Amino acid sequence: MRAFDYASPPTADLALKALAGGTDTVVMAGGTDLMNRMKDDVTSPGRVVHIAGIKTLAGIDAETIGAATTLATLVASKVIKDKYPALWQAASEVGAVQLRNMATVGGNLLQRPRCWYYRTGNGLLAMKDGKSLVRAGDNRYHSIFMTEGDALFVAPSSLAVALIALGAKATILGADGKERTVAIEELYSIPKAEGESELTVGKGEILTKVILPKTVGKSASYEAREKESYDWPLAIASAHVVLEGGKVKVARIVLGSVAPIPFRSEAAEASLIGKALTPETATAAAAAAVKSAKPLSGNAYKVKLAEVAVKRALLAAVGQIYWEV
Amino acid sequence: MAASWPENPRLITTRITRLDGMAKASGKAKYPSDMRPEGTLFGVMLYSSLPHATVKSIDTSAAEKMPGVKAVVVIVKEGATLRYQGDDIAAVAAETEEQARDAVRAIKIVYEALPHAVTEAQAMAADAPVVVKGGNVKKGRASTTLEKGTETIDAAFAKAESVIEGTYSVPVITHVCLETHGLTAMWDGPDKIVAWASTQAVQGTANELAGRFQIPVSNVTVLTDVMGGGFGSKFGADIWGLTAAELSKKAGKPVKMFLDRIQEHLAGGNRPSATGKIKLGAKKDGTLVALAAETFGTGGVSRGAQFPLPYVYSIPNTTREHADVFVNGGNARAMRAPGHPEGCIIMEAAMDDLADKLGVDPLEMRIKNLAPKDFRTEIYLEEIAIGAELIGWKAKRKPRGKNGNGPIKTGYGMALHQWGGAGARDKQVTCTINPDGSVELRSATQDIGTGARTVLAIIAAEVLGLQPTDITSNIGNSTFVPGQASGGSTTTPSMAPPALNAVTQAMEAMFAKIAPAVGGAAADLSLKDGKLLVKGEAKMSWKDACRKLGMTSITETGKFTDGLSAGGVAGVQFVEVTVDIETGKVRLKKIVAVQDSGLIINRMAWDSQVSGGVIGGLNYGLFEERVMDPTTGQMLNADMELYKIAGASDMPEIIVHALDTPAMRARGVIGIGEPPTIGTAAAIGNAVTNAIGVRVTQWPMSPKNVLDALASASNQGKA
Amino acid sequence: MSTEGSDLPVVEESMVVPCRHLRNKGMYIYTDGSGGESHDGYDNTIYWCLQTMKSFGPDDDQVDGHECRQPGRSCYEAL
Repeated sequence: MRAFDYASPPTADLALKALAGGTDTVVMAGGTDLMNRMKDDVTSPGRVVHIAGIKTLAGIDAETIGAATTLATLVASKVIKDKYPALWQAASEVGAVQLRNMATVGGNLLQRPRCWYYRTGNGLLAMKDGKSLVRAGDNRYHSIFMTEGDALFVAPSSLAVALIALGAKATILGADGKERTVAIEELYSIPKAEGESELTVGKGEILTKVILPKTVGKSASYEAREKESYDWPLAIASAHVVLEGGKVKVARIVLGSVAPIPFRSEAAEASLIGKALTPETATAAAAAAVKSAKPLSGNAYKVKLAEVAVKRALLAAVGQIYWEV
Repeated sequence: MAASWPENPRLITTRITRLDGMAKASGKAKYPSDMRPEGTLFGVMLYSSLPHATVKSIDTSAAEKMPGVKAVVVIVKEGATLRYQGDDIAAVAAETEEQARDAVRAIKIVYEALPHAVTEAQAMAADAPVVVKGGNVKKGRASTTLEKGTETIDAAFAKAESVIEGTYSVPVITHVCLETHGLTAMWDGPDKIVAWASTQAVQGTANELAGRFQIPVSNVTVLTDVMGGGFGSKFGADIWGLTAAELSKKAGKPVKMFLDRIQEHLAGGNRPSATGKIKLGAKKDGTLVALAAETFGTGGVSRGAQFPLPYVYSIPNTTREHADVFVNGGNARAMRAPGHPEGCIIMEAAMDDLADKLGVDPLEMRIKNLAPKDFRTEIYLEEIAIGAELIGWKAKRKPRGKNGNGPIKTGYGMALHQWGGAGARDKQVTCTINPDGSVELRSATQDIGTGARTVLAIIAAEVLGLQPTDITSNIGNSTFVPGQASGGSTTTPSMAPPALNAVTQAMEAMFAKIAPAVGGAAADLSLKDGKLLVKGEAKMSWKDACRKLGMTSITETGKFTDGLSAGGVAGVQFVEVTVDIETGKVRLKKIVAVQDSGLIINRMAWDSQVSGGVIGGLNYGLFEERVMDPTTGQMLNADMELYKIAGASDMPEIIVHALDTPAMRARGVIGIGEPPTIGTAAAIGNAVTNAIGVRVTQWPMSPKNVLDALASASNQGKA
Repeated sequence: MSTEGSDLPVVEESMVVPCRHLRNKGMYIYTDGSGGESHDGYDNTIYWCLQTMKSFGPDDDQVDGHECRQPGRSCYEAL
């Protein structure tokens, strides 16, 4: 870790000022990702602006979740659990209890990738002499979709997957003090060159709120992972369906940990419209979801995991859980 | 009369809380990495970021001028070869850790990168870069054993009625000591050192410090009151310990230098990988006929990848060829039962596969092939019967792949292992009985998890009719009488006999001294329930009896005597798993560990050692793997995140069954540290295979390896 | 060591005194001269040099029970 300035302002306005004032400033909420990046010398900001103490940024009020709300608070909410199970399930699997006490919703959405090439100082796209270290190396945890380019890390936020499936939005406070609202999926883009970020929230801006839709259908998330404790998804899917007369009227199916941005599968959604949600139709939707997968040399197994995650998220949404003993 | 273990012990073999347990759990215990004497500086090591390089130049001038920096030491000369990421170059001591790290970054190193090989595939390729002069692959001589009348191994296989061939592989793992390697060194004048070291060998470490600085070893005190794990990797001062002492000498202040987690993975040692290309043949009834094995493994830039094979079972015809492969990836160090977990995995996978092909119960196949004249055979038979009962082998186990209707399949696996664990015969313990009734035991041994302190106290309390909490047990000081270095599962069997003798001698000396004052002959005196008995009648309290010693304590030094300890243990483990064949996720449900180790001094600590060994083994079986990047030669998971270790939610039910029988007790004390970690990963592999009906040949049993095995089998039309 | 066809006596390796800086784990544990680390059929002893604390000696060659019994080696110092 290198020396840095530290500010912990009590209001969002003062936070904006602090972010504008220093060189190379970053926002810190729970710090569960930022601190590690700083210790590993992957990120060395000149100034860290701590926002978790800003009261207006934390807490759940009807459909609005403050960005500085801890995952523990989110998971403790009965409303979230009952009405937005996809979100609740994704959040309750993050890390472990201790981590969720510190980690925040905003921080989870804006955390940087876990890619071990990135984390060992090889850059976000991990290129060396014009060649991708990921392609040539150990890519077992990397992307299986959108793998034509050089951005082969996977988007790490499991909350983003659930929130996009639910159709949620985020509010961003711009450096000029003006607020704008965007769909969660607009928080992410695929970088094309080293130096570009996979996050669209700009320097000097603060993610302030997540806004859930008032009306939602049934939803669920399913996460395939290795360890029970403190681990990352190998593949995660969130399914959100609105049923009318027993048939799927609207479907939003999103996958995570499989592409450089949260991956929405219109193919899987299309295969379900007008059909009942059954093991057969869920299986077909899952197959459709992975049809376009182009795995790398070491992660073909993730195609199967992504497929299973979609199938299970869909069936879990309607209470058909076949995989537990 | 030579002391012996009591026929009906009061304390020995029972469950006794560790004397230092509460201190450790509450954070009160001071670990070597907690020690910060007045003025302590922080030492940080600069290590090679490249896997293979020559040092062209080292310039520490900028670093020396940075704020807080008090000393800089350069370890390698210009022109030296660095052989792995993590290889030590130079070190800085500064007033704060941050200042030291800033200064290390300011050291200007010019490397000349050399081609590297960090995976076995890279090192064994035809045009591989040179890792080690003389070749990256060091092949040993093939060794062949044939029974009388059999001319060649092929002729032996011709007699087999069923043969399997398979290649099984387990990767390099690191020790992951919770407390990293290091020490805090403090000079007292120009020729005296005190060092608080995280070490398994206080006296070995003291000798090395003395040798490096050419000072008398009696001027060096190494203190290890408690320490956070070694697993075989902490036997000496290491380069960072010697460097800390050198920095301390230069700076005139104590220097604390412990590796960070990244360095611990890179430079703290590793358990070599193992791959076995196996051909195993048997008769129809499961009796083994022949084994042919081609094996290799890597320990990085050092040797150490050999392992026992055949393992446990009696095979009349065998041929074995092994190669050590060198890669630019760390330096192997002994790790808990070196070689045995690897050999067990490969042997037991082959046994299981052959049993499956024959349609023979894998348990019966094990029994069939135990060595007829081996003392362990009786023990294995007993342990197998107990373990099979505890896991429900007969009732619950089904043929491969047939256990479970949905995607969740249940599987059972087993493995046998063995170890030595006899004590060294040259260690001592001093026992002091003071006039105030306090009793102190001392020896220069240390506790890496054995509960050594409590073992000594239990023995003293047993003899003196007291409670373990009445005894002060001091270890971890290199200036005490010679104590056992903790390795090979030798600590308890080395220390228990001298402890018994020391206390017995002290008691006899005490009786001789106080007999006149208490109205009896020395032979009339005994101790029971905290009291002194004269001719069988309780006369006074222990404390009152001690007061009769007057002004002087009794001190006796006990040495090793025969008949109190032994070596050679068996052990059997059974595992129950479920595997989700859609996600490849393995869930451990139950692990049964049936283990013998002679006379068990502290049953609670013993159960804990067995559990701990099983936990180490389940990590080896399910999660651990060192991942190297072929292009940059870096270790990609030098952390506790993607180097995966089980957490609380990953734990299965662990059933520990001690084979604590009169026959075992009669053997005397045998070490337990290593055996329980040997068979677990092997049994897990077999359980997973039993569950899914396909052999997973690559450890660990991760979703990737399980799904890859299923996909491969399905491609070959086997599933 | 003898060479094939010569009439020099065969020198058993164990008769050659190892360099005083040679170390392996067994030297710390099996101090009573009883066992050792090497076993029938496999030898996985890991050696290091006290001079360098590594598995490579001051002459930058490998440290080994065999290599460190060569009196001709530049860094060899008899016990």
